[in-house]
Amino acid sequence: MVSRELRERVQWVREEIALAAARAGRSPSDIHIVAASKKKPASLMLEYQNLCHELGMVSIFGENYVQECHQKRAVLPPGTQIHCIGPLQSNKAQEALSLFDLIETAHSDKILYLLNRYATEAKICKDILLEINVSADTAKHGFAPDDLPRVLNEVLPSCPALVLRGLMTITREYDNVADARPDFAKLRETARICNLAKCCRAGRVELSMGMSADFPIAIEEGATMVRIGTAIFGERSG
Amino acid sequence: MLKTSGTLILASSSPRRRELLTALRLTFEIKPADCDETPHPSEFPEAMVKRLAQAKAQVVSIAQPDAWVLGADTTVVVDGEILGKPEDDADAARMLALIQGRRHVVWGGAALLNQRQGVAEVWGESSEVEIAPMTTDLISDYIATREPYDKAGAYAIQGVGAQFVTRVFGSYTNVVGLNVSALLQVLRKYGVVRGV
Repeated sequence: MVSRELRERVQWVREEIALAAARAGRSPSDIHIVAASKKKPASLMLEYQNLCHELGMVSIFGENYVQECHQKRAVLPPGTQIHCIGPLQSNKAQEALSLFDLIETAHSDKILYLLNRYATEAKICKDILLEINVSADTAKHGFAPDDLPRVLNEVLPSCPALVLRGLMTITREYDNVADARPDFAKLRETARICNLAKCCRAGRVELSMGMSADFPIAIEEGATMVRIGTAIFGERSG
Repeated sequence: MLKTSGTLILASSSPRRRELLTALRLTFEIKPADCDETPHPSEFPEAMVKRLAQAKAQVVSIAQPDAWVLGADTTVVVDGEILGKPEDDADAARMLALIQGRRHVVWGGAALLNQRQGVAEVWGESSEVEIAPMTTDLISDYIATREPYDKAGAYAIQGVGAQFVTRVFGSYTNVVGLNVSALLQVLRKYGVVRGV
């Protein structure tokens, strides 16, 4: 059954999303929660799934590791939506295609070509987000914002098996969460400047930005997906 | 050979539920129930569909205490918002814009009542439905077919709208209007039905 702590945490997150959306003049249903479940047991994910259905919501999970996702899929119901939100290594690209519904971390030409090649061989299409390094954090992956036109004009046209859904960013860690706001705004602006709506499926541009500490700010700046782990599942013990 | 013990009454005017039961070769009567279908404030979808299924069955069961009365209710929920049947074109367009290009949850509730035997079995379950991306033009065209009217969530999974349903997770008949597998389990449990 669904524990009271999980219920309260999810309720809090939904309220915060609704408040942030209202401040930004947006509809809450425009924003999707990606429940970051790295290192969390499948039993807790099932609990979250049941809670979502109770509330009339669809659950989406974010996993970081191919191996962990593989193990969890063996236990979770078929059709469970899982995004790849961790750095994707080249040697995991092929497996990732069958495990993830959306790959949020397409961060280099090499990964794009690899994903396209394996998807073509498997005769499937795969939804992706382009990971953008807005913070110019050398420790993070991602395309530079200025590089996006090149990727759109020169790389993606050679990757017909990849379906672009939008952009994603992991900002650097700021002591003051409010300092992340310019980075979120930058991702939104990058999408606008590059006219991403023309390249994305059904003209809808997903912006995956914001995590447990700063998702309300990200939503005010246009986030359509927020990756929330701690605020839903509690502190990671591993 | 399917044998029914006693009278089975479907307390619903839904043609889809009637077709589901007919396809199973069940023998039944139809007595639509009128009751207030307004959701209670902050009522969860599961509670709502079970409550309404029971309320519909109750109305008919009181008048026919010897009969096995079946009530059902289905609701479409997007991000916690319960979508009823659209009131007009604008309402239908709003609902279709909400459900297109993503998944939503369908909650189905059912109740089997028999006053004489003191049976009040109520059950419910959820399915997830994935809808293809729909442009505003497609949405307008679909509304022009008039099919969205009288459908929860403004679409029919088994009509013209079938072309927009890409995947179903969970029971399909639950999405149509009544999980027939769960229903037959209950009918067999009480000996209402024997055989196939």
